[in-house]
Amino acid sequence: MLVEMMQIMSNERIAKGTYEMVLAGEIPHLIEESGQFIHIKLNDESLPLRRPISIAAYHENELRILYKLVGKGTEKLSELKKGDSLDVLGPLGNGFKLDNHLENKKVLLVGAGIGIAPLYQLACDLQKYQVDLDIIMSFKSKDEVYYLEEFKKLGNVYLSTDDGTCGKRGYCKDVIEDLGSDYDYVYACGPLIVLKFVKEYFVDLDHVYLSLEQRMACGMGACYACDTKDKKKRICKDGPVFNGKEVSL
Amino acid sequence: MSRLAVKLPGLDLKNPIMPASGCFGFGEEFAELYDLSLLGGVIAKAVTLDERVGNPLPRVCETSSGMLNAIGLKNPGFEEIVREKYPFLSQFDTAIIANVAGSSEDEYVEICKRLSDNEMIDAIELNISCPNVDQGGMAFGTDPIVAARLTAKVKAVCTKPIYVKLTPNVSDIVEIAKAVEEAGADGISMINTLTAMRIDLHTRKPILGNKTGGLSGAAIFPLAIRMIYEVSRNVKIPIIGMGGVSSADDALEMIMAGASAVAVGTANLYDPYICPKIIEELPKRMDELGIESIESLIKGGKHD
Repeated sequence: MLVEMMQIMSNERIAKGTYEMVLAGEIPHLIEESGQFIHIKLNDESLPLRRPISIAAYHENELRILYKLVGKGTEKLSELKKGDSLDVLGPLGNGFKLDNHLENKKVLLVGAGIGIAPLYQLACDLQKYQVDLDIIMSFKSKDEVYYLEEFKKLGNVYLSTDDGTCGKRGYCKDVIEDLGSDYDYVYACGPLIVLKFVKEYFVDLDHVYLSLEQRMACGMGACYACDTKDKKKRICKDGPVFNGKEVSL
Repeated sequence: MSRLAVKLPGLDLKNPIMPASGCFGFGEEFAELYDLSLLGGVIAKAVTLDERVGNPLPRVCETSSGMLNAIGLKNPGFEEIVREKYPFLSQFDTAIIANVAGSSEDEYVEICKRLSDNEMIDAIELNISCPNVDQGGMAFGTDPIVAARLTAKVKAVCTKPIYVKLTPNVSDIVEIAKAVEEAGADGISMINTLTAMRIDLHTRKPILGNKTGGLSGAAIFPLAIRMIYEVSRNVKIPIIGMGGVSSADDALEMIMAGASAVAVGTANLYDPYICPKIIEELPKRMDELGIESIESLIKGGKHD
């Protein structure tokens, strides 16, 4: 990990309250796998803590993050422009670890809201294992939908919106139930209620991987702010990705 | 003696800067970023006799120019800390201060007794001021009689210099400081965090699992300065000052207020290089402010 002033290559609104930022620097060279995150410091003394944001994609010296406007920090982030620099600590965390056992398997990605972001690089990385890939993308409403075409290129997409303005009308869990439990590997990222449902629904499956989140301070494992619910693991350092069987929600 | 060197009971510091307890773990993570030998010393995370798993989540949240924490003295317990964590720190050329916490007077006394002949530890910071635990912690630090009694009991069984860490959650911190000095404290460490709270607008409930947490960061710096100023004029023992320090200027201001060394806590959590940065910037700022050395700045104060 490094602390680095990364250069903002672009910062665009891609859906309602949702932005995509591309950053260039040394940190992308250190990324080992999808599911890792960066810890962003805003240039504002009144907002001292870093914001942990998943890496959605990376390639050579660039990485891409997607973020929602959820508070003062993300609002400030959305105002930055191409050419500005950004104080970044990263890459952090343990991500999605892939290996040859995935060859030709049936894989399900479950993403809801901004949780879909880290699943993008994961979906790209899964291509080389020739998996049978189903991808659930759940949003509140049509105007929040992003990356639909991008994911369609990588697998079979099952879209839902809470209000039915796009795709199936329903919640993430409804789509999961539609598709059934016949999968070899499941990867999920989204609100806690979705992760809980996935863990429960696929309780018999060994290969369920959940990306957790929690309010953080240092992001590097030193301050013990971000334990899992059973207080046994640090989400920043031991996670954020955990096997569903090894973590309590 | 170098410009930055400071001598305190038990502590021969190459510079006055140390990470504060709780914001640095036992140094393992930060050691991946820089050589801990750069530091004047390290104040380790609290040790309790048995392992403590910490408070319900969430344990932190941001406030304007600060943060709340209610970690809950999470630590692996005395045995693992003495067996693995202190030895890790002792490989570096830096003073090691053990922060000792407990839920009963007996627990504090037992830990200090066991650390008394531990060669890796240079001094003890007596944590009688943590606001985030049900038993012990702040309860001991808000009553001068209790604080003094605990200090005396610990002094009776431990040969290490004892720095008593004071809580600002009191009406009169000078009273507590004088009481612990009289009971034999070798120094004072101040200030700990201020009990505070934030509420989530969507759930309408406190953000932290513990409901309240300790406020730290730049927001509390002026309070720390005022309290250090007052205490330093009422006790003779040295003060390790802390509370919202995030620059060489802040450290110098705290020494001018009456501190002899300065601990940096919260700033490590958002700028992992803050301590070496401050250490590196000190000589330049001292030149600009006409300060010959840290020792001379310490001696020059407290005239009024």
